[in-house]
Amino acid sequence: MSEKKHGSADNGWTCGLSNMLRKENGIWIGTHKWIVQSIIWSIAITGSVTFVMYLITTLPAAVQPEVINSYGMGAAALQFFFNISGFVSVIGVIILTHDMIISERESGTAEWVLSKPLSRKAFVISKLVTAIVWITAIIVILQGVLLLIVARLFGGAVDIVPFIKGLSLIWLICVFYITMVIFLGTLTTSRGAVFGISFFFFLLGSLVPLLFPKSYYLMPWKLSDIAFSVAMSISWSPKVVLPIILTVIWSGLFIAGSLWRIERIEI
Amino acid sequence: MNNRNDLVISTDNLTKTYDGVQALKSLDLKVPRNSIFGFLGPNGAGKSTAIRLMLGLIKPTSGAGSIFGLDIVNNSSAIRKRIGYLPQNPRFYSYMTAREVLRFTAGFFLPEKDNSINERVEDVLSLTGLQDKADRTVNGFSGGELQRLGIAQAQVNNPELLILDEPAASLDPIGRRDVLDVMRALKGRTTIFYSTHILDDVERVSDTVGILNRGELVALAPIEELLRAKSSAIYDVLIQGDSSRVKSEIEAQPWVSSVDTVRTGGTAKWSLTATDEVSAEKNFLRMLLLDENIIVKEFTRRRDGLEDVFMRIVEGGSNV
Repeated sequence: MSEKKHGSADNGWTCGLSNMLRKENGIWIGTHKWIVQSIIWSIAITGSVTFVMYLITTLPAAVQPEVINSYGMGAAALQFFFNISGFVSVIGVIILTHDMIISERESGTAEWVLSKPLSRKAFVISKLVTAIVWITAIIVILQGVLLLIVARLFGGAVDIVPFIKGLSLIWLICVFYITMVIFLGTLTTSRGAVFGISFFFFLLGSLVPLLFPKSYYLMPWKLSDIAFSVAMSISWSPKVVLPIILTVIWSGLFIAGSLWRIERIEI
Repeated sequence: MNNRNDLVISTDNLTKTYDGVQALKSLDLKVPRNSIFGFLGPNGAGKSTAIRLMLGLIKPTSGAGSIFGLDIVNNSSAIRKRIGYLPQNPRFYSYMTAREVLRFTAGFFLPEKDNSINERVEDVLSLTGLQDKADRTVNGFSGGELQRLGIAQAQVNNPELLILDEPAASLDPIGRRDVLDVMRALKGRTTIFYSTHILDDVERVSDTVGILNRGELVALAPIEELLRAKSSAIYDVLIQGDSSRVKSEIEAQPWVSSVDTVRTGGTAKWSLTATDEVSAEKNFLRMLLLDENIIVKEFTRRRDGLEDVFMRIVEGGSNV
């Protein structure tokens, strides 16, 4: 067989990456998964915001939330959006990514593809990149666009640039959980363990900062609150930068951990 | 034995241990180029472990191995570019059609836009008789169809070495025959290394065999050599008349291991197992013919098949 037929010259971590990326994207496009997931998360996130906004408009002005009286319907839409999105997007990420690695190990397709000229790093990176791209598109960008429409429908005004900055923190939360879940998927073959640990960690965000207030700076638990402040252009103290930086660092560590761990898994 | 350049697979003391249990013990395997190498052994003997080590799916506890002269641990990607592999239980992405599976597989070896991809896919679909199922999703494939698709994807890159883990295990007799035909067709062009427990298939297509038992390689030889070395000398004789005297004489010979007798009317059927083939060839028939009380109606030397040899090696623990 000719050298050309041995494929591209790379033997490093990029070996087989482009083919795997095409395949991973194909799962979303080829199976219409993107349409189904767009509908599900639009109902869960923007649908919930819309429903809450509708309920509020039916309330007498005296009992309406303070944010409406102080800042208007646009601010109310932002507050509900970041509160709901900070919760639902994490659930979405965990559901969509918890068995990305495990299902391939269990079904035997990992053994099959890794017997081809595909580096293990490329195997994980293709899943990471695809998850980040599609979750960004569906759970972050699409919901952001829909929120702007909903806010306008309820007569609220939203400043685009601060809103995009706030939305980028929701994106950061998603990236944190994507990397964490994929890392857990390289540690165990138990879907329950990956789902349970990820969700338990998320729930700890409601408890731990109450007991240990400084944990607020170390983890992404309060990033959705910060996102709302950023979107409202409320001046923010340098202290809020710390959880943002640490979330980026944590995500980087999870990626590094996944790439280290996948090389050591016995398939 | 072989010059290293003539070897496609070579392992030295390759060992794999799981939780203190040795799944593979100091495997020294030499697979000649362009051979059809049958890798035999009972279930749990370590065949799949050896194959997974060769493919870099698991790492050796100790020892080393090379394929095409490249180290199996450090040059795994380079090796896999030149290999086709059929897993024991082939599993593919269930939402893909057979054609998509093959295109995806080919994508690891050829650039996406390469025109030869379609040509290769059609070739292997035809080779495995899957043309009419090419656009069906894998989800609805039977075990036999999955196995055929497995062979097709292993062949899509025209590999220099084809590693097949139990290729005929889930096939019906026609499917098995087709797989053997494919292997025969590739003989001389590709080295085929396959594990199996279907000994009849091995005898029909292999030129070299290795037998693994409890993680240890207990035999490694060209098939004819193995059959010659490990076959017992068994003679079947049909005798008419009173054979009691000559039987006693023969049983007393030092080259006789046992004589089993089945009587039917006036005839007796003997099965004599000899410990010394040369002495048996020289003396046995002569002794019978010298006895005037009997007529020798039939005299045949029974040839052991691979199954007999395999059972003797595996159950007896002998090495070749």
